[in-house]
Amino acid sequence: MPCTVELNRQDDKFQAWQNGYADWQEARNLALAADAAVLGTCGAAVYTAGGFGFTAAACLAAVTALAIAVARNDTALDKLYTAKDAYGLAVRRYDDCLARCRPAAG
Amino acid sequence: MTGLSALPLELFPPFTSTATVKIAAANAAEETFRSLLVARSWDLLHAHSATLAGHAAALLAHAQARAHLVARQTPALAERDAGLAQAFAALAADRSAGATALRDAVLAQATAQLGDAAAAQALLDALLAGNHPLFEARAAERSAAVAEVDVVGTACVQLAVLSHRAAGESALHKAYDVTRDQGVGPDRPADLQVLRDEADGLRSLHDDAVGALFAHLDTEDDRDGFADLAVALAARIEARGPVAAMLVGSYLALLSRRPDVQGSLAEHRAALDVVELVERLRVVHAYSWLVRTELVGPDAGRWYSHERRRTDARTQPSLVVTGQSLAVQELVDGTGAEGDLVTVEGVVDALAIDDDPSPPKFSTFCDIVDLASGGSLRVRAHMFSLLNNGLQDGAFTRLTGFVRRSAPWAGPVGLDVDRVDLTDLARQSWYDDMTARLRPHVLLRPDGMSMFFTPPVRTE
Repeated sequence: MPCTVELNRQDDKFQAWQNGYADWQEARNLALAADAAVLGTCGAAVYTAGGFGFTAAACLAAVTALAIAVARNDTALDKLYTAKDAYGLAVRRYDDCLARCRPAAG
Repeated sequence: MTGLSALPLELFPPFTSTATVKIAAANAAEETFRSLLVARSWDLLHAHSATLAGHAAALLAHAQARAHLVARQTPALAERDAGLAQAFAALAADRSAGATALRDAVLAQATAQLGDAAAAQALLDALLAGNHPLFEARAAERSAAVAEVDVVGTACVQLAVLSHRAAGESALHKAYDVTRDQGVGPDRPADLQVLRDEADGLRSLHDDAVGALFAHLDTEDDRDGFADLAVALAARIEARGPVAAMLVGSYLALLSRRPDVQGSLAEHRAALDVVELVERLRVVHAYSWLVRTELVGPDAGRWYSHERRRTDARTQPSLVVTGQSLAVQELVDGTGAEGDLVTVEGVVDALAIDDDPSPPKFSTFCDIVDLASGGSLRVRAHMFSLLNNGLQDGAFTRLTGFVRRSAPWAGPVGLDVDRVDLTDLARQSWYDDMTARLRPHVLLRPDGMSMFFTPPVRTE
């Protein structure tokens, strides 16, 4: 079958992208949970420019936890982008092969 | 919760994580297309066209929703980034004992959470300096959406293109088979006019579509209008293409009922015109879908701006050269000097891959038989396989090549098929640029071989 090599490579790269996507979703969900904790502890004013200061230790602790979660989310995103680029290249090669694929001689 | 505007709707079921699920399903459908096409399962391929179109629609809807949601979040995220940055800037500037205690508390908590004192110090430094990802939520969300829409959009274009191709391929080949099975034919003189009318209609559609797209980019600055134009053109091509393919499939079957193909140059030429225009319209169709997907993404403005600039230094028409049109017999009779670029038409015969003495590589060789005179000409595709590109004995082709009068493989006269370098032409021609960029989805000239050809016509 034509394009099988390209298809297998696309499948491998898709798997890596899918895994990267799942890891990012997990990191993102943790960041969102930390975000909710910040809102619960500090109040919505923490996300409003103008006048807010970290006067409460509990609020700052929640924000620190959020910063750590956001940094991990950022790392997961970087890995996802790398996997996405590799997958995109494999897709391009498979699509390219499929574009030249013709019916078998009848 | 802080209200509807802050809810992460893109994470809510069933939208949650469905990008990978939708892409996986699209990939499976793409694989089914390949199997059905190669196996010549025309009925199933026809039915599968609707499945492919459904995937394209779902992917487009996903891209639209993702882009819309991130746009909706942007103001809130920007304010949040600014608010946090301002609070940490104030903490950094505050030299009071209370602020020092707060900074020490951050360091202690980060050390405990990260288990690494140096990393904790780096985190605190970054927060106080205002260069931590915490202050870039808006940019992070946007780039994540751009990356996702890129993957989803590419798949969307591919599935839309395959859907249209599945409809066209199945229509052409099924019509050929059914017409052959019915035992009708051969063709009648009036049939030729039907094909010519169809070719005229397709040519108008093609030229109007290309002209409208170029003119819009060149003279207007209306993103929504350009998207509307793309939607309309895609719909018109999707409506017309399969019918044209069916017509030419039936006509080729009628031609196959002739006892001899000789004397049917005009008929084969009309059939090839329709085939070529159907293929060219597939490029325009793919471009229309590319426009649709690119204009929904968070980067739509930048993409449109770049797209408009592509018309600045490019002319609209293709710059692919075709040389002088000659009959095979004219070449045999001595017209055309060594190295001249010419275009000939004829039926493919004796197609094979063979040793090529100079340089020692394999090349494709075939004879092109003139349907007006019966004369034939040897053709070489230097170091390329025309068989892999779908060419078969019995196909009618129109090809452009260089005259060879002293090559060992050429006999008295032969043609080396020209190789179109779209990468070079794309710098000057908008049409060639469009064709080059869409190569992964629609390949107008596989391997750059300067030729178009019909499916084979098997005569009685």
